[in-house]
Amino acid sequence: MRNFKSIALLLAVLFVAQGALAQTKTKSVEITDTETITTIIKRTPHFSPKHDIRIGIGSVSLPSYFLLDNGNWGYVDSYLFDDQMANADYYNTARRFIGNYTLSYTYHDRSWLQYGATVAFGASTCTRKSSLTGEKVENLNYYSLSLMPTVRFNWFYRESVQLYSSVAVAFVTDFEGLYLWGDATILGCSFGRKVFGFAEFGVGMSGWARAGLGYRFNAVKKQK
Amino acid sequence: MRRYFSILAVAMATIFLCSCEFSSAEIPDPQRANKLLWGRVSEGLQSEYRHAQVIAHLNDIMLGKAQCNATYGKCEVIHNDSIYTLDYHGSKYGAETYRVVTNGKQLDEGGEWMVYVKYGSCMQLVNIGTVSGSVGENSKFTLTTYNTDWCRYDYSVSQESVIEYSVNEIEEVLTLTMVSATGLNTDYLRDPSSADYTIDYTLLSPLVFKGDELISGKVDIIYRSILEQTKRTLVVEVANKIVTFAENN
Repeated sequence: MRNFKSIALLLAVLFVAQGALAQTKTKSVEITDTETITTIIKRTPHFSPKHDIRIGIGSVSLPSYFLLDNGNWGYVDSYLFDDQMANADYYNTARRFIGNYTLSYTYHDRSWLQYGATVAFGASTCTRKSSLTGEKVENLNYYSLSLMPTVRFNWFYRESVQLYSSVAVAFVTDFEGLYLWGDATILGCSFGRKVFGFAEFGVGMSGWARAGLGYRFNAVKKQK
Repeated sequence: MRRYFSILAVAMATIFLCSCEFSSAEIPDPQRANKLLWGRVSEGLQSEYRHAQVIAHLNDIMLGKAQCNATYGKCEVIHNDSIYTLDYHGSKYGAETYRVVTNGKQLDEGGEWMVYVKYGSCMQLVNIGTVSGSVGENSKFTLTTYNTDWCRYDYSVSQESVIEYSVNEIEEVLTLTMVSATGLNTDYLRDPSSADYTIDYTLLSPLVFKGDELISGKVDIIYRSILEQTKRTLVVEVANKIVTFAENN
């Protein structure tokens, strides 16, 4: 019940905010002389819906440790002597995190709201080799692929600079099982008009730090 | 716009550099398996050696050549109508209690004696290990130990060794030589009804201990993994405290 109230309050704040950012008009009156009064009405440009496509790269995250490091928080030797002997003639190279790569599409419906989906791919590499010959015995790479319905909230909107936050539910597979995770951007910034760059800090499947490039274009063609 | 892309480039470079290693790499060690195997065998030999140290000390006490003292823990003589016992309550060498039983003979009458070894994790004084010898033989005995520590987990270690010892009273050094020794180490950790592996070892040349250190010796080891269906044979030679391995295929 408490969580529902918090979500309802957040939605109310966002609804009020979008009203403030919607089409506004200002009116000013100029008196040039005693007989002439000029009323000037200015309108801010009407917001045009846009398509927003992004590709990015992200750093390691908490899900990365679970999905791309076999749940190991460091490697621990088995206490069983038989296991130790069986593994003694081999060694593993360092497990290296390659990155979290994302491809995202959102529909920028209102100046404050975008919704769409993101695909994220993560990987780590490791090789097992023979201690006696140095030859590779097997690959121990791990991969993760996630599909995330995404909602993005622009709380500062200008044509060339936007500040935003987002939330997403992540359906994740490590190609052995299916899991449910999440992703959230705590603070994101995009800069540029049609072609833009972005940088974010967040939690979840995309990594705690993300950056990339994007392209946005109008959803409705201008009438000639 | 150029400034924006500069900021973006810095951000991406930072993220790329933060791509991290999850765990440190293992390093190749061709002798790792041999070291593991020797480590397990030498644990057993060291255990046998520790018992032998105490037995040698008790033997000297029975012969009147040494006194019980605080270094070796509490030591008392219990007189009984039929059994003459010498209890040694020491934990210096691992086992908690040694009991020497002379089967009714006085120490100066000669005859056979037995030493029982009790391990601290099991409360019952059981016949885990025995030593046999004759009072009057002041430097040689046969030590047979059989340890099945059911109090913790399932494994068994049986060893038998013929030991000679000498004491340098000036340097206060006890030299123990395992003239011969055989051992069998078996684990039943995964399934108590069948063994995980066995390790057999025999001496090819005597093991000499001075003080607490293994100085020289040669041991032949056969390791059989019941689970993996593999076998490894190894000859370990110790000379001047240096250990070398030779795989015996």
